[in-house]
Amino acid sequence: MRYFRVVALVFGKDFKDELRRKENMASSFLFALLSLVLFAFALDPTRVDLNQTGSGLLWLIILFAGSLFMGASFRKETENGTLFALLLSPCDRSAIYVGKFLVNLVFLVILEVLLLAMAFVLLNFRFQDSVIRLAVVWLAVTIGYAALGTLFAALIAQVRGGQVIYPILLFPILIPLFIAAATLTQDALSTGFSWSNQWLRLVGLFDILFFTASVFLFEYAVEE
Amino acid sequence: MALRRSIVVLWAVAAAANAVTLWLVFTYAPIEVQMGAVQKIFYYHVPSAIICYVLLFLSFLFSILFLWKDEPIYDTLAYAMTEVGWVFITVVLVTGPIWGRSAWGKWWVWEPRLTSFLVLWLMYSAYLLLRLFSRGDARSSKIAAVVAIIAFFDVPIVHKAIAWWGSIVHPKKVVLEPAMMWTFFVSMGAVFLLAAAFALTRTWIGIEESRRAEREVAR
Amino acid sequence: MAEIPPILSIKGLSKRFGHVRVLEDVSLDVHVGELLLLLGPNGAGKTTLTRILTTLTRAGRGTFLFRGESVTEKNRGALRREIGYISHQTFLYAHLTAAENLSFYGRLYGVHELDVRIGTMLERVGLAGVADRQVGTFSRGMQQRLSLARVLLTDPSILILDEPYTGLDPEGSRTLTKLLAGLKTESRAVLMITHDLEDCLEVADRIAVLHKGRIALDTPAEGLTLESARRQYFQATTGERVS
Repeated sequence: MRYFRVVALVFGKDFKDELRRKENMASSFLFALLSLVLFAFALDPTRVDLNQTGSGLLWLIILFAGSLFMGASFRKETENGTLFALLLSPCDRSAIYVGKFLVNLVFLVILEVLLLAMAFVLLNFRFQDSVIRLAVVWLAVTIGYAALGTLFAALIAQVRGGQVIYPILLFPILIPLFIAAATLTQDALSTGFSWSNQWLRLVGLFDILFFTASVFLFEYAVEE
Repeated sequence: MALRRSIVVLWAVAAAANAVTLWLVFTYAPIEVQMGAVQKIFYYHVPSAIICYVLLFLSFLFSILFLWKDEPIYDTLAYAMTEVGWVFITVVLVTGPIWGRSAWGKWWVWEPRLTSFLVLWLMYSAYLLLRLFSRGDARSSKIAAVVAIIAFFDVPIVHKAIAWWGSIVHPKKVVLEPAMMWTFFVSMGAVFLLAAAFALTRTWIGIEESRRAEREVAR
Repeated sequence: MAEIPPILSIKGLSKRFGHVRVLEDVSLDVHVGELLLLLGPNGAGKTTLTRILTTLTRAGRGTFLFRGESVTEKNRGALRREIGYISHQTFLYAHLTAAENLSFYGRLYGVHELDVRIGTMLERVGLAGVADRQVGTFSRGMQQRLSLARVLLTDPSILILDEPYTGLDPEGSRTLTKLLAGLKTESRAVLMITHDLEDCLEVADRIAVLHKGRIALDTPAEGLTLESARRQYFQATTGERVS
């Protein structure tokens, strides 16, 4: 129980911190909107039907905008040595990871909701009929994304040029998840969707495997 | 020292094995009917792919051992295996299109196995880049080890996902004539020896580098 | 003072990073009610030793005892709970208020009657009036005071000060020295890592010098003048006898 209390403590502290800090969230949301607009210019929405090709595009934006936010999640802890203080404290190290993971997860969900709204308005992206399916699929993928994104953020927090190398390190590993996300979104919007979809099982496996691995490896990611 | 001598011997044996292989490939192995002489690149392409998996597994293993035991030799080994593994991924990505050009008429086709190797190449290039960026950092070894472990866990998932995604253009079941089969076994052995020679040499370089670093600090 | 067993004790500790030997056969005891100065030139291994004492780095070969028991994965948490660490970094969250910072750390360390203690601590460091202001708006001096409150909040039995005099003007140094005298209590040990003998010799009980990874000197500070202390330090770090 103590473990979950620490998780809740870290989550609460970090969530409050991000809300007050604003700059990480704001730059991420703005970047998402900007990307959407750039894609519109690149693809000419009057001729391209984004309901056919939009799935992958949206996930591309989530990937980039999300990594802007997550990449900074441990860097800010190096400002006043607060990460050091956390490591000095008597809590289980992995609880720090889980707390941060939850903050990133919540943020990504907010980002995705905002993105869907923007896509609906700007690009006429229709998803009303498949909201539940979309929500489940997107949440499942986001869990895997947040799990590895948080771990890697801890890995590069104190590396010189870490923020540059963060996406280069993270994105190739996320490729299976990305393909699954694009395919599942496409399926969810069409009539061929089934809950026993093999892609959904892949995502489930990905989530469990990499969340568990991250919980164990986090200690080594921050240890001296 | 003993390691240096064994490496030299290994290179000699590997060189001999590869010489034999090349001779076999060009004189003994028959020319494949459909694809012509370019098909012979298969004798290096496929063994390279197989050896990649071996090296990447070793990278994974030594990374875990390093985190567990905290002995620097495991870090040196992990780095060496990953780097040599990356070299062989590159070989696969270069020999593949050469073969593909003559077999499919295009330099690149998004077929599953080659595409998977492209993703592997991206993952492990990032590992090497990380090593460069973080050189000198006290924790760079630990960070790299975590990345190597995660990357290897991802290898089967990448293959599965891309297989489901892509179309099958890669020749599936290759039926090998006896002459081809024998040549293949020989080339497999030759590539294996070559990889072992590279890996051991790279490990030796790594050990020498850390020895040099230690001497400098002691001064 | 030598009769009570040390709260922290290391014997024959050696630590390597890669092939570099950072600590070699180090033995040191830390007692409650005692202020121990740890001196040494840069690169002597002070940082590594501190990291091992605070369990941030795995101990190499040798024994490391906390309250007489070997420090393992199991009691690492218990040891950490009893350590308070002060350095030039504030360990404060700039976007949280003073009270929120203390609340976070207090709950992290399982401090009882937290709200009461937070109030007491803020009063003690003279920050009661700004409890609800974000720490980022504080002056450097205020942040340092809050940092101290953060450490004392958990009532640590081992207080480690890592070069606390860094960046302090003479006034600040004098204040710190006065504060130090009051920090060591019957149930608390103070370990101070510093470059500078001058500022804190008067409140020290023992002096240890680390040089090239080895303990080169470990002596009581009672009756030691600044000059003789300097002489002994010089001797320890250069191996030359000075008359």
